[in-house]
Amino acid sequence: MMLRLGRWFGWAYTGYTFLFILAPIAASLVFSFNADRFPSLPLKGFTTEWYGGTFTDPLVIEAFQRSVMVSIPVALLSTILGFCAAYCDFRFDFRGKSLFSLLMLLPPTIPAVIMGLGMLSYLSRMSLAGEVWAVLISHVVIALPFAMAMIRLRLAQMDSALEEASWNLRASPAQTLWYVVLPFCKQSLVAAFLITAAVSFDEFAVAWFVSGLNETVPVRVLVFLQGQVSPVINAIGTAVFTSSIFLVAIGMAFSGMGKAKRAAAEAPAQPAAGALVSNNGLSL
Amino acid sequence: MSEALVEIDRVSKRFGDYTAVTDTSFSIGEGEFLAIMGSSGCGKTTMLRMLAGLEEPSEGEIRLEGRSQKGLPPWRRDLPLVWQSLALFPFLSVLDNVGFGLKMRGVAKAERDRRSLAWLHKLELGEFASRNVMQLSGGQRQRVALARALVTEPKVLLLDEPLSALDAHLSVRMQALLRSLQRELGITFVYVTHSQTEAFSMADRVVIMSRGKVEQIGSPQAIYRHPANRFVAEFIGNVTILRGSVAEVGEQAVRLNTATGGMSVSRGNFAGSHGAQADFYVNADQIAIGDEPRHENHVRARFLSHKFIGNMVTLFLEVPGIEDDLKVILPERTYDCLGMQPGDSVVASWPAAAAHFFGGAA
Repeated sequence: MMLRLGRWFGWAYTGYTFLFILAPIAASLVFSFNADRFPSLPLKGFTTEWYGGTFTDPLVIEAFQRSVMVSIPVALLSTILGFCAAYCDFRFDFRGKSLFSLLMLLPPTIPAVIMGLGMLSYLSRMSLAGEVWAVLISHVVIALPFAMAMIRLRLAQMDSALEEASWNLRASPAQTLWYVVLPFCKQSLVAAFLITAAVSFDEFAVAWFVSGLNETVPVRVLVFLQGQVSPVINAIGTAVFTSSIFLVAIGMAFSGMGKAKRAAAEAPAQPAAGALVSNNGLSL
Repeated sequence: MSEALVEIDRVSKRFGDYTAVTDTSFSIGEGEFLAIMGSSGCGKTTMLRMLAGLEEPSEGEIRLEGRSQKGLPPWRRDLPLVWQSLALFPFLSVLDNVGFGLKMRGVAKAERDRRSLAWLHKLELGEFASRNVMQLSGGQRQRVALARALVTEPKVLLLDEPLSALDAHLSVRMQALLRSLQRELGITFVYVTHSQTEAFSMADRVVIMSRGKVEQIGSPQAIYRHPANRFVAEFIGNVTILRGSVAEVGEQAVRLNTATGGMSVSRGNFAGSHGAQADFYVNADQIAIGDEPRHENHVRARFLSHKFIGNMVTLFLEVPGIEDDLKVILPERTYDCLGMQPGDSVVASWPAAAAHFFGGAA
């Protein structure tokens, strides 16, 4: 009896948590199609007017272009660096290795405001504040740990004999990296790319500090919010949310792809990549 | 066995404070099937990894065809290894797995595929060439691993407990395959295993290792009949070790007084003198069981239990004054005819020729 009550409570609590997280997003989505200018109930009727208005606004288009221009290089750099860091951690033993791993994984644990402020003061000393570069660098710092963590999970599943087997068949360490380690990690590399792209695409706080006039979409949204309460914001929010969730979903599909096939041969299951993207979502 | 192809010369290997292999020397002949056997942690796998260049000896050196392998990284050696975990590349097809070594040697794709396919056909895997290795059964993967190692036509093939993951039936079939392949190719196999059955059924010579040292090297027959020391005797487990004091050293046999009475043991090259304490062993399959003694050495014993091993039966007898059980191996039919029940009193007897001193066999 107690057990059943406990389980019931568990489900209710989980449900409540999801409601708490998703309700604002759902509200934003609903109101983005509402004909009324003000987000109030009852709903006035269906319209796509706000979307039309949004995507003809040159400032919004520019912000979207900039977000894409930033997020792709960020994803590429984060994935490459994340792989290098994960491989170092996997392959080598060196003094201060645990400190190295700690530093690599630290950024997501730092509150975004502190991170943004820190980045701003650092980048302005290097005369980079307000440049697109500033956003790119900051986002790599934030996104890299996600990439590293995902690739590290995949590497942990690799039979350590695999590299040795490759050496044993006359492949040099460099050839082994190219022909064995990278192909083994391929899916997690794609997943890391997509998820770091999503991290960059909807990151707000740090971008707000360092972007200056080079606003990304989330920063543009805040500027809108400061001026007016417009349903356009709901439209943008929904678009950003949809694209982020789309990237994350594909990323997770990749990192979990072949799971069934592998499960027979390899016992350790791959923890959901989504768990890594918890503190990152556009909160409007 | 002709001249030495591989020489292991006073090799030691230490990992920090732990010594995995201590001052070990032996050589491996061309075309020989050598098994290195021992329980886990005896240093047999470390030995194999040193051969492959995956570990560097702390002392001593390994020579291949007279050339020192010192400092040569694994990717510059030609000693393919068949891994216990197989270590097949999961993202490659069967064909590409087999062709990997050739690709790394710069063999062109067409030639590579032709040679890989020839090996796959040879090992009855031709139809699986385009499959993913994960889609194969354990036995099939095993053969892919074998093909991958052999496709480059090495002079020496290293095998690290390759059959330990297979079920007994499959393991026996693979043993036959390995043995016939080795004969046919005429290359040297260095086979590491903890399984006596595998080592004894395939190898020309067996190296028995324990705690980083070689205990005995010899043909399976020699090791089985004449264990060099107490460790080997207990490891092989087909003898009973007894102890006595020398009463008389004769021409052919040595007379000893033991806790169960006087015993005659083959003299061999025994050098002890009157009154000395000596260990000796009695081969389990040369002991007769009955109501009356049939040979000069005999003890009265109580039948405890038995164990079937194929068509042979191992009996365990309790002998007053002896700590260990007396082991007797009989053909199953003979055992059946005796009609013994646990607890029965029987007479076990054996000739002097069935008992030997350690290391004393000529």
